[in-house]
Amino acid sequence: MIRLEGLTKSYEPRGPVALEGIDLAIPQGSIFGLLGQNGAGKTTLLSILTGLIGKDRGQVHVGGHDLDREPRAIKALTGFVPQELAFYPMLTVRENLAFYGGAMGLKPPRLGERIALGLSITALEDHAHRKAGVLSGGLKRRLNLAIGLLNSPRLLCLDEPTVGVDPASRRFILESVARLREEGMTIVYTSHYMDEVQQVCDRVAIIHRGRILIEGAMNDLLASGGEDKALRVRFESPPSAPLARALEQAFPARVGSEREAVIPCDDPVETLARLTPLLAANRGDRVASIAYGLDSLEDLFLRLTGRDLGD
Amino acid sequence: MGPFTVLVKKELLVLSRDRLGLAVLFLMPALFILIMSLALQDRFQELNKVTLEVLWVDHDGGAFAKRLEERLAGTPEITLRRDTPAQGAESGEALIARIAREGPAIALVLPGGFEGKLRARLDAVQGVAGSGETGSEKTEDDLATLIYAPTLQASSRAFFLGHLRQAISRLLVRELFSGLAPGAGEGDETLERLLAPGSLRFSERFAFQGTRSGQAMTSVQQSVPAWLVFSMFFVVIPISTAFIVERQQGSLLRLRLMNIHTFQLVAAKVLPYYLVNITQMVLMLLVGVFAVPAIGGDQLVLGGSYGGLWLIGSGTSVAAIGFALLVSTLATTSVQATTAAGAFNLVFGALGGIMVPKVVMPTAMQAWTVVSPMAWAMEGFLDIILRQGAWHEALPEAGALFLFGLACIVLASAVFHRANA
Repeated sequence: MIRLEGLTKSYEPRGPVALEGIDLAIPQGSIFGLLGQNGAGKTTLLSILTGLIGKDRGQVHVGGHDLDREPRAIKALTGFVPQELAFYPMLTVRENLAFYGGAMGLKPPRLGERIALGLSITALEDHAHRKAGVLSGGLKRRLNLAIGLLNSPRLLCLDEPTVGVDPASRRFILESVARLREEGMTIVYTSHYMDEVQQVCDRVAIIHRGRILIEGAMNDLLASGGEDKALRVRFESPPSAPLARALEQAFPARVGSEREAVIPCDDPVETLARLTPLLAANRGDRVASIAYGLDSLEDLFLRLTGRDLGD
Repeated sequence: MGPFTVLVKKELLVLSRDRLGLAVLFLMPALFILIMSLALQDRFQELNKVTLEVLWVDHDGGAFAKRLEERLAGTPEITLRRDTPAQGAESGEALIARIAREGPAIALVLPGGFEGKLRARLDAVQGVAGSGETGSEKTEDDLATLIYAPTLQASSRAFFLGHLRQAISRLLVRELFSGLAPGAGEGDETLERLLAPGSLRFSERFAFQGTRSGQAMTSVQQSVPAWLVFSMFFVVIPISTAFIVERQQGSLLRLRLMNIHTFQLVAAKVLPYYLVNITQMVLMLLVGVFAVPAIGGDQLVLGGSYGGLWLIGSGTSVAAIGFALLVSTLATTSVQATTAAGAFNLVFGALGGIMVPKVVMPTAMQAWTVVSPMAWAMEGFLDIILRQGAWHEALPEAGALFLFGLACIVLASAVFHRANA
């Protein structure tokens, strides 16, 4: 659905690079999570993808259209839900939908059908005649989403769609996104909430200072921890010197941090069988956990960037 | 409906929902017009009709003083006030202090030798006429003392001084004439009529161009166009605020993703606010015609060209909206936009003859008004309302305003497009 090759962008001629040599392929019908700190380049990437800003170098293909030659075609098949609540508080829910639908060229009766469908997907039928400004935070987010769906997009870009909503509305939005994927829509999803990205996305890319650090299927990335597949042993206190020596002699192990030993391996069961006697021989070194891969996307992000998203 | 029509319809809908904002746009100038028309009424009336209160202090009590008092009291523009005996006995310094403190505008103090000085002057005149002798030194003395309140206008002082000199001259002429023709004594109506200044008539006309009879400028004819122009330019604040909020909340971003050109986004603001401006104009003119006279002010005379009013009103509106859009695209926050817009409006208003009428500005200052689009609008309205010209009389000002507005709109589109490229 989306293919980026060598995508590069800087906002000033000799200024810092916002994106550098981005290569990315996003398959049709997937939910693709884009993670990165503020200023990492997520918004720049989304803005180029949706045709809002130009690029310096590289190729962008969306739905078979080349951005350089067919930018209007790409805009036509793209829906965008910005982080901001991009609608008019003084207008009702229905009036907002009718306005944006009309602005994108929809005419009756198709306009009415799309409005009805948008209201249905976001469960806003009962609020259609209320002014948007008086809706709760969760309902406003739903309206924001409904507007992005008006043009039946094949690609939907969601920028922080669940910011500031209650848990129930958040769950509703995530379920709606999952349903849209089932209907064949491709979704690019950015969020600061790693747990929801982990929950809803099939694939993920971590972008840092304009470069993609890692990209792939969610399960594979979590299993590998972002590097070769490894067994991670965490101790309650730094391992003793005899145990550290024994581990390094038995495996190509690294005692990476004070309390962790990383043992690269393709067969975790076999490695665990060899590891157990060593641990039993050094009972003074108390083991806190043994894991294959990473527990969470947040662990992966921290491992790769050295910071969390709030930094 | 095409996207442009949809954008315009949305603007109208959003505007119609903002009742408080609309009320401010319509009520604020109406209140200004009512207040300023009444506040400036006396100032403008002074240009046409002087009404002066004068304190009469007579220490002479002679026949001449009596006749002068009667003449001044019979002048419609002068209200003569007499002191109580106690007040009449106060010193000159005390009188000055009283005038400075509580008025009236002028005190006329006739000294004890007033009659004698006039008689001496008559004798001198008769001497010159009869034997060629020169006048005595006594004719050079002050006849009376005039004390002015500090707030007295120069025009009022000039009027009263001229009127007093004329009244005394008439007394002297009457006296001389009665000496030459003893039959024509006091109370001779024919003689009085012939010597009355009002019997010297002139053809007077203000330079109006229309067929209707013109009127001198009144406060309402200054205030209505002035505050109308000011309020039309006031749309800069709601336009810039709405535009920046739309930009910040991502609505404009969303619209740009829908293949809508930036020029369309900017231009779609013009028609709704043009309707607001024209409605403002009609309402303010109605206030001038009906509301101001209803509360005791002068009535606005519209002139004969409604087409001219529409033309200059439209030019003013396009200029105001264009300027507002330019401010909107240049400013980055609502606070910045409203501050800049307010400041520009005040400067335009001060330079444009809104706060201070252009006619009372010094000549050098009047030349500076050319930099303010509000001054062009003001001149255009005065062409129609005051000078009662035909529609084409306002064409130069309206044309300049249209060009200014269109240039601002094109520039605003370019700035907006560049900022989002």
